Amino acid sequence: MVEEKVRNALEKAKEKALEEKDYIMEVVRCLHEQFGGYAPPEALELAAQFLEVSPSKLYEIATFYSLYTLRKEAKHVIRVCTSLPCHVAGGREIIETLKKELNIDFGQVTPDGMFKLEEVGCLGRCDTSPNMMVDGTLYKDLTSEKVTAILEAYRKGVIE
Amino acid sequence: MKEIRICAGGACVAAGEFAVKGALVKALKDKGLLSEYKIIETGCMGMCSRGPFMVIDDVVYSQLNQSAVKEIVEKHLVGGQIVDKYLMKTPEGKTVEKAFKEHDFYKKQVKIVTRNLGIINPKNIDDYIERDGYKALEKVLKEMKPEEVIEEIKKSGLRGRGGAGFPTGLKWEFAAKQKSDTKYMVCNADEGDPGAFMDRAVLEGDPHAVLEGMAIAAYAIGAKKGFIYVRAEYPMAIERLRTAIKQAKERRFLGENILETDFSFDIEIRIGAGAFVCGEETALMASIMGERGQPRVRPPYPVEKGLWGKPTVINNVETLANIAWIIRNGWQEFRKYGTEKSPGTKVFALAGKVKNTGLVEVPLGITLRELIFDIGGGVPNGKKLKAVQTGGPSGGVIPASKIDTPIDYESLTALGTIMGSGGVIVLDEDDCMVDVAKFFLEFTVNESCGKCTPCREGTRTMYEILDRITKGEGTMEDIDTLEELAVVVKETSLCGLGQTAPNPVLTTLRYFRDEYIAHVKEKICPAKKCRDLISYVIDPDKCTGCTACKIVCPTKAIEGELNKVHVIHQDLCIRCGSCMDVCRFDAIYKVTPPLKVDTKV
Repeated sequence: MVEEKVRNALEKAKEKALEEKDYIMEVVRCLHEQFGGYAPPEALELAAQFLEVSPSKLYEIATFYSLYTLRKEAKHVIRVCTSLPCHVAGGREIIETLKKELNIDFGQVTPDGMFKLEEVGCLGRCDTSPNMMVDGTLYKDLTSEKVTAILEAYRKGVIE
Repeated sequence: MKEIRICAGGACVAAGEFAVKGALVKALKDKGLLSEYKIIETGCMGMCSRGPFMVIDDVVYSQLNQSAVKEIVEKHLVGGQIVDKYLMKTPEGKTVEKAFKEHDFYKKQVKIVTRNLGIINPKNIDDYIERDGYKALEKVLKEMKPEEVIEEIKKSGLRGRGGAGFPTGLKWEFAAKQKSDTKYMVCNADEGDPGAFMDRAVLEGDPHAVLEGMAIAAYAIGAKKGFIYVRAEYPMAIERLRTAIKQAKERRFLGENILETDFSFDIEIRIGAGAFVCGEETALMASIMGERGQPRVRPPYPVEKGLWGKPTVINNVETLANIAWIIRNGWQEFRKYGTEKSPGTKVFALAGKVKNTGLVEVPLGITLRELIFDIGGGVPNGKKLKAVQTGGPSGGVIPASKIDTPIDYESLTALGTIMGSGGVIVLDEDDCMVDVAKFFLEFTVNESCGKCTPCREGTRTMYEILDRITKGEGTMEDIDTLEELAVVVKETSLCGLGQTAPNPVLTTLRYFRDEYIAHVKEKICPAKKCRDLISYVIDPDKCTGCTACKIVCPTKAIEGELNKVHVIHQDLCIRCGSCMDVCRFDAIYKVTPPLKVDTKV
């Protein structure tokens, strides 16, 4: 099972190689796709074996970049912008609402495993701030009410 | 066939472009008009806060929804009447029919980089070709020698739009002169500066312009392979780039023997993973090579030793989007815009406290006043302009008194800030400058890669001092230490991230030192933004006792009966401001310094 996924990831990444070993980042990214949002250590080790590089090569990438993670932690990852354009547009209240509604702080997961809350530097939508991204979906022009409604929609499964 | 354009830029998609398009198709079908119109989904039309947009014969409709579209089809397309209520308005409330030509936001703009945005369908290469796309590449391959291409770009005076402003032609020349059988051409699309989003708009709205620029650069320097490094936070840009690369390969604008010549060039996309530092060129290269995105010492510069030790040119998205235009129109035409030392245009992203937010492309040398007041429509809600922040966390603030300075690379540096990638955040009287500095430092602390000590430790210590000051716990020595640290971090950090990180602190200290002193000495926040230094108070003369604030208060800090004056218990109040937001009678206001905890007001 793990091996199959790792092979798939390597296959996908290799297609995009222009140079030998320029696709290690891509491998880690494809592993995240294969495993649904994370890359478990055993998969990293296996991939390293196939690539004939030291496991630390992949491990360091999976731990350095903020979008990569070793464990599946929550069904949905909420990334809320904490930088200035969003801040001056009322982002502080959005962050407070999120923390209050979810009853967690940054980097934590709700007890039901539904949400993880992360901060993000900038989503590049500063003209419609405050913004947040849930998994791959962007939500803009946020207000506390909108945030509450969005969370509710995820909880009820209206949005998958 | 007549054309209807719908903006399918990121912000409009998020605002419901898909539903608008669906409604348009349905309405046209209902009226039997579907075969008469071609619907073109374009890239960003610029004024993202007013989307989704639809353009029919230069008439611009904004802020659309499904019923609005139905009405426009019925009245405009069938009845020939322009539907006033969906037209764009000036900040004064006047409707503008042909907004892209007549609205102040667009009038002063010069479109070179954004020439195709809002006009072509970025998913269709034919649209790009129809607007002279890939003509420049053809000209270069068939009529020009690599040296001539470099000469043309050098004469144009184009400077890197990623922030540092290094002359592009010179960079190419350095790489071209290197003797190596392998060279690389890299496009830096890791746009991470908070407040900047022009690269995203170009990638989403006109990806072929970037590919054409890369191919021309590759020809000039002698590279056969290229990478585009895009951040993962831009999924739509990645998708459109993929489509564009595929189409360009099919038409032989990329790949082996481009346009039947000896020149071959291939591009692959590399996706970042949420590390701001990867926008720094040596960190970006490390990331492409499958390592942690950490910078290294320069020299050697990438043009000498870049990817896998080979000569590599790294250009920013906006820089590359200029190339084909310069080749087609000539360097003289490009120099008609901008200043002697900073020719051409720059795309700025207007955000913050300004009426018209969005992307604007203007000639360099324009003043901030023109940018913010003429184009941006000024500060909303009758507030006063306090300062302008440029260049994101690497830049600084410019006080309102200096907004008549013409903007170019040198003038901004002289003011203590930088051009950066072109983010412009407008701040009004409600924004606290210490808070702004603290904000950017927090960002830098999070994004510092940790490799060199001045950046890793220095930014953290600076942040801690700023945090103390905003809490009213700072001392005058703190301000001195802050200034000293800022200089050390600036001078001794390894890469651009650390070298520029102190700019927000240094400029706020330079222009708004009195605000720092107020926080320290009087324990007040003049802008009434820092929570530890303010209290919310109810004005008994204005309060009607409607209970709205009492209901919304999360900590039950407000007491009062219906129709009687309410009071806020300062010991329970967490200063979230919810009460002030809901009060319809302006009865709640902020005071600084804060009231003593046991007083009821």
